[in-house]
Amino acid sequence: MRWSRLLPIAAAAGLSVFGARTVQAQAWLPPRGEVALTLGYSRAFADQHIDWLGHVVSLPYQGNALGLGTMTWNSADSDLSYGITDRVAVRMSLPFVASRYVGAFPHTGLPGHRNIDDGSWHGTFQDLNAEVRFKATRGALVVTPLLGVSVPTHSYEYFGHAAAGRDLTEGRIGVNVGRLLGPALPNAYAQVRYTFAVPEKALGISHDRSNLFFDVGYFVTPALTVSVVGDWQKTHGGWRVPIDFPMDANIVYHDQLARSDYFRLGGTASYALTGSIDVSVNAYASPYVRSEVNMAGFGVNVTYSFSPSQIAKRSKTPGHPAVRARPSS
Amino acid sequence: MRSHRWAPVLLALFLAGSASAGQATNPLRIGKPVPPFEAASLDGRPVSLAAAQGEHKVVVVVFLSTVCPYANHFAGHLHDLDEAYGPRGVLVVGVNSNHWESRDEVAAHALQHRFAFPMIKDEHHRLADHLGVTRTPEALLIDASGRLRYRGWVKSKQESPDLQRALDAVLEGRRVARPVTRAFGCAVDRS
Repeated sequence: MRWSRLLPIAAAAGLSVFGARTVQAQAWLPPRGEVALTLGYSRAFADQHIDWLGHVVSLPYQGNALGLGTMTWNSADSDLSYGITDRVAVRMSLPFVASRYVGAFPHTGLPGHRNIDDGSWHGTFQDLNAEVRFKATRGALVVTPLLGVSVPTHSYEYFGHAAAGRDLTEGRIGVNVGRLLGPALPNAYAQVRYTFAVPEKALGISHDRSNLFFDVGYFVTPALTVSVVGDWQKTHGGWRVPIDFPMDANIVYHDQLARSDYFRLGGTASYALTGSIDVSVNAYASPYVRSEVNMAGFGVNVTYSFSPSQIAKRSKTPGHPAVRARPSS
Repeated sequence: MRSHRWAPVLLALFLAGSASAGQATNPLRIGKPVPPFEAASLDGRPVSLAAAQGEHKVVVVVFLSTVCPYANHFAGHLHDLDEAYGPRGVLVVGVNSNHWESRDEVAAHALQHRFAFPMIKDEHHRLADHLGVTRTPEALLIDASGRLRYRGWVKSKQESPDLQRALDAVLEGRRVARPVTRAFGCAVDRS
């Protein structure tokens, strides 16, 4: 889920977290006319529900207190970025999520909702994400405001531990800030991203969200980049888990409205296989969680960077020495 | 049925991207003459492609940045190339086109990396536009007849010395086996 090649540089691997709701900072834009296509796989899992005070939620079961079960999400991620100009870039992504719940407390029994907590895998396309970024500054400090939207591809099931997502349209506004840290730290960079998201209300209740993502990386060699990444989320509104949950049919909205707060911390490594193809791996955990599950996970991504105009030109000039000798791109 | 209120926004983004697809920088062709250019180096000496062709067998124009990790990673290699190939008739010319890197910073950077070759501060990225360069580092190799024989990275990410190999081929009168590589690194900042 990333635009490989950070800085205009190489690929910085981000967290591929739960259906693209979390994307890495992207302060640097791709050059005009360049495309980066990323295909990836990510796996996230959780075995605890954490309440609004940070305690593990458990319920009585056959005379004992029992956790709410385990959840696993496998996601096939696709992400396309394109530099319209040197100052404007667009990006689109669409994850396919296959998820499963195993436990004693499935969400069942409400009319109009599928039972996806039956212990089987359930797959669906989740939300189509689109974003436009604009490079606003001149100089070494790069400031890149953004506008984004997420639109569910269809009305997928959101009531269940194994839900692929919240099935809500949302708009986002935010800013990326990045800087190469040379000459003090010659091969290092840092970038942060703040977004304020406004999802559709449910039951007329707002549950807007702030996310602050950071990425501090180091170019070990021209081919290898490593970084530490983190994502802090604060939900403004919504329901605290479980104290605000209604004891009526509106409980069906509790996953959509959960006041999900967390801090996720992870690491990434990206390696250039060729001049155009990069592979990256990432892993993360959640050291701080409130009204959310204790998600952890890992992912692997392959990014192919190319210029459509150059490919078109090559296709029109067969036998040109530049064509014959060009590397994989 | 869900109401997709954002669909028009998505469509607009897609159309914006599609409409500009053909506007990417159009680089020079291998084997074709490179349009002449003139500039002044940081120390005030004129740098002319036409004049250099008369005095050197090969001209290597390499675009650099003072802060780009990739450009800096290969700075030592460029210094060594200049030292080793200068006596063989090769002129290396460094260019900095990032508008926010000052002449003083470029000069200090050249001193730090012991560049003996001329450095051009490319005001308003005219030379980068002229040669269709988008990255640092990116190198162009021009032979004595003024034709482009190689363009792309200085070395690959796996440290394959393709610029040096192209230099050897041209100096020995051979065909350059890999005349185009995909330059990588930091974008030339034209904003």
